[in-house]
Amino acid sequence: MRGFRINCGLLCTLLFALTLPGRAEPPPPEIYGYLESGASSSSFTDDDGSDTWRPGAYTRLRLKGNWEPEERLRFHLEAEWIAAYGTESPDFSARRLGLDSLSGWEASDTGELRVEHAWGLLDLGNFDIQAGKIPLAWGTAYVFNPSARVNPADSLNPGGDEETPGITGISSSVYLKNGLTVSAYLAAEDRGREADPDMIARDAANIPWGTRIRAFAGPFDLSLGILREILYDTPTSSYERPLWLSCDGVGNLAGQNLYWEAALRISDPSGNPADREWTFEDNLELAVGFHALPSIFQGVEVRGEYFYQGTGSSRERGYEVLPILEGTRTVMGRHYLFGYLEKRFFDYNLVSCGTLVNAVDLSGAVFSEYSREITANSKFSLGSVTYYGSGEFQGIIDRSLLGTGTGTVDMAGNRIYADLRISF
Amino acid sequence: MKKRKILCAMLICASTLWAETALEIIRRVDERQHSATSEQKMLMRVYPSLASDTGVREFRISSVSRSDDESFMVFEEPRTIKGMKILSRGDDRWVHFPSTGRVRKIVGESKKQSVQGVGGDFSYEDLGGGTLEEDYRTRLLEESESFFIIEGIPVDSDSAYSRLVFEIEKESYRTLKIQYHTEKEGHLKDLFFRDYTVMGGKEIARSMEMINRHRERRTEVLILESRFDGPVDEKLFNPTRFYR
Repeated sequence: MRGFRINCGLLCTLLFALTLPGRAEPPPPEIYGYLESGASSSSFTDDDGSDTWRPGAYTRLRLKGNWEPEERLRFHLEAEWIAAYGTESPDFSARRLGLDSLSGWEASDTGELRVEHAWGLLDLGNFDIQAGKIPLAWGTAYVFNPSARVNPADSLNPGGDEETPGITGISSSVYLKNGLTVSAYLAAEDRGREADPDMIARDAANIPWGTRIRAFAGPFDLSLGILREILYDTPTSSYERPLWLSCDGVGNLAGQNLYWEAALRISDPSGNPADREWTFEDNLELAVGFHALPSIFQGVEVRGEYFYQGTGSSRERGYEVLPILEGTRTVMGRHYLFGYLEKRFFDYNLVSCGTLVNAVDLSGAVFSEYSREITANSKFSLGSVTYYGSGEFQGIIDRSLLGTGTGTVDMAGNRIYADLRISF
Repeated sequence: MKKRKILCAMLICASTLWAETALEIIRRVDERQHSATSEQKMLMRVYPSLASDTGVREFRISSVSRSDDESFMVFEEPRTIKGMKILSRGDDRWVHFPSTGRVRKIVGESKKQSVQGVGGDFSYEDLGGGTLEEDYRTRLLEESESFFIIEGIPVDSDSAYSRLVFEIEKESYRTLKIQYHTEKEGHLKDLFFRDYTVMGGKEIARSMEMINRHRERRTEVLILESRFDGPVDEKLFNPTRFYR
């Protein structure tokens, strides 16, 4: 409730700021965004082995605001309100897992208005600084971004078309000659957004930070960085502070888009330099992929990505579910394959399907969607998510691992959905 | 034998003269179109069919160009793609999607697509910059009292097009029409330049219409504002900061 009040106060202040007149005939402030409403039905396997379809519904309002009081000064605001019910509500998942019985877990944020982005950007020529609640979207890969280690992980968002969450912090870039750019950020929140607000006051080592240098080498864009990830372990109220080296690139080879993105953990979880048990394969995360429009496929876009997660387990018995629930890890295993096809018909109709497979246990998820842009500012989507295999994506979670009870629960329900988004 | 040599020499001379003529014309067209920098506000209308004026979708775009092969565009309307930015430098294109905050580099086959979220008949390649002289190997196909008809074969082997045919007004070197041909579809699109007007101190076509013969529909671009040879912000042409 306190957080809600703070968010509302911040939002009111920023909305008030948006209405203030500027000094030298700046462009007027503008508010825009979208309203999205959807319904779904999901099938979960109950304790007696029967499948039950359960409904869900949600409405989501995303408000965005821009204001440029001066040529080199810009403000941006994004606030979101969600009302979610049934299987779409976080309460539904939390109750099935019994997480509401654990201290430190806030099961629901339904019906709250949240400020997602609220930042100002000062552009001083070859140097700029951005401060506030900022989106930090590092990396070149489509599905898995090993170098993006400040935002909660979202495993079922293969198209990557949702907004990047904001994090309280400062980011800055210095633009050098010949296209070289050095960027850095300092933040004040852990990756899962679970830790107490006084996290950085307790220990300055809890400050997440990152820096990278970007360059252009022929047909390739390249970057190299180092960053500190902060993970909060809810049950033990402790922090992990791994240090990562990152690199990524995107470019053209034989007329096709190729990209790669890698991060190597160079310290143990406490943040100390790597011990003797450190191995390269256990500490590497790598995504390699392509994006192509083969002429033989008649306008079908094809995407493929391989993801290696050294911190994941190559055996089913070693899967850890807690980091997934805490939003600090996307998937539990080591090897993943992603494939995606997309075809646009008559400009405004899009049919897409994709699959994400755990290459070790061969379980996976299939995503399919049809969407139509009804008008320039409205889009209707109809889709499904189907899980297959008996491994990770079967979604069976043992409650005893969470300490919330006994027995197992099915958390990966096959889902069909329809939604309408209207932009304004 | 001697006659054959003379004939060969004459043919070589003739073809050289023709190539030079086409090149000269294209250079005049490039000179006419060239400006060190340009800033424009455009309205793009995508019509669902050739005949109908209903169901039209409108897009408002601001663009800044520099040195023939660098251009920056930002979409103002519709709201679904508001804030989407595209930077083109030579053959490379970077697209910034404001929702994700990510920049995607568009290369290779992907640049043949129509611009994401826009539809219409202009592809990323059509919207890119460059001079005709550098981008095409040209040849004069036809010359009448009023027009030059020039064929251009794209130098870039990755181009979506197999050849373009330019119709150029003889007196003014205005481009009046461009035909786009592909290996597969043949004569695919026609781009018409109309309503030449002085805007921002330079004579430009205020209206451009792309007719897609294959899909039987059209896209119209109207130039609302233009400014040439003024200072432009350096950051708009830097792939690491054009979206900041």
